[in-house]
Amino acid sequence: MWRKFKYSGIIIVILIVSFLSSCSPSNMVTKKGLYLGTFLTFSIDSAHSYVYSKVSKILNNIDKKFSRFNKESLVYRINNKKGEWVKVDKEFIDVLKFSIHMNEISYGAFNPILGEVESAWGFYDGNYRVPSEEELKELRNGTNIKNIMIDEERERVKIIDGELDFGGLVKGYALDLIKNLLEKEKVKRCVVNLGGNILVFGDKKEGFKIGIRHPRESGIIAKIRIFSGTVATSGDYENYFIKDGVRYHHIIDPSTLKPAKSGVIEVTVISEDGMLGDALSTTLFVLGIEKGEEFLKGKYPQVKAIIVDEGLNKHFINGAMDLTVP
Amino acid sequence: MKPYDRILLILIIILLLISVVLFLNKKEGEFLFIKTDSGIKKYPLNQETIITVKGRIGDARIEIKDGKARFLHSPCKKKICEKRGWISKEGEYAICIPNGVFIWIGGDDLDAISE
Repeated sequence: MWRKFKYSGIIIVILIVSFLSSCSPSNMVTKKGLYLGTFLTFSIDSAHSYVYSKVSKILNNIDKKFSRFNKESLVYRINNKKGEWVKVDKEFIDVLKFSIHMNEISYGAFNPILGEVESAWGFYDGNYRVPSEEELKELRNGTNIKNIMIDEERERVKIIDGELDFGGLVKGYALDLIKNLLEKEKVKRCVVNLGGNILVFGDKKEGFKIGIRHPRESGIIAKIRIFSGTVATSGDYENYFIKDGVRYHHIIDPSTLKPAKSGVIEVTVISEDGMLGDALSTTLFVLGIEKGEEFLKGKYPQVKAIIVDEGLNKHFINGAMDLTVP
Repeated sequence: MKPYDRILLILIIILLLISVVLFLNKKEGEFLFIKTDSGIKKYPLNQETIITVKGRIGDARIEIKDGKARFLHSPCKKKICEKRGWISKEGEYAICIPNGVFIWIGGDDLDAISE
């Protein structure tokens, strides 16, 4: 009797072990694409791989509204028709109002109308240069948030001076729309990486492990574990140039119209709300460690942040330390 | 043990060995993936080499050395891809958007890298 079961017993054990090991995330499908001028990596449980085409539509739709480079976009039309009303929609007004709100509560550290300044430094087309003080002085007027006029009733927007640039929040906004879609489609598990802005969604008992890029070397500077939400990072290492030994990066301080010199070189924000997290990563970068910490603790105690200073020291805000893993 | 049991057992052991090898490869095996308009290619990171690939605006040269990879030369203007420097950890990537060349690393337990 026992002899009969001897081998089939082994086989059953082996089958169970193989089955359990195949339950790990190997049944995920990964797609890659180019959207919003950046790189998308989209991993989803294989049963929901069809969702990708809907994600693609969402991202193209955002591009058509919020890109400064897409000549068909609302932002492009508004920027190129100064002083004229441009018909928009409710979604556009909502995002615009959010960006103005961020400007107000951050004492101007977040500014959605810095387009002309970014352009003057060459951060859009790679023709890098250091603008003269006079040139910056002339651009100053165009960075005033009051240049943005909203007619909510007739759903139209105009700017009097300056140029809109939603680069500081549009990726995070895209993640929010993707998250809504994943909820609607009842997706089991999904990881979205849109140009370094991350969204994790769904069941993963052990949580999702996210690395935070090292701002000066290859590899990562920290590892965090989260169960849901978004992770946004802003750093001085992505779009920059060095002239006469000085590093000029693309995160402009609206008060000086020059690259922010706050002693910070990288900010990571962990937030359920993607658009907020994205905007906050820029805001905290400009505010610096002390002001940034005070601001985040006061206004958004539920949002966690990790700030890396010039000495590569990590500052954890609102309990972000608890998220780190070795 | 009947003959079919034996065949089944051998089959299962082979499958198990394959999955163990695959699993170990996934942990340790570090590869560089290069995507251009003509498709995705995979290169081992432990073999020092310089690869020339055709992009949308010209040829890009990608270097693999000491388990790391980087854009050595790209015909683009902003050179963001070259400034990205070396990449070596799973999930890390460098992109040259104007030239349509993406490179990334496969191999560790991170779900994503925020940057």
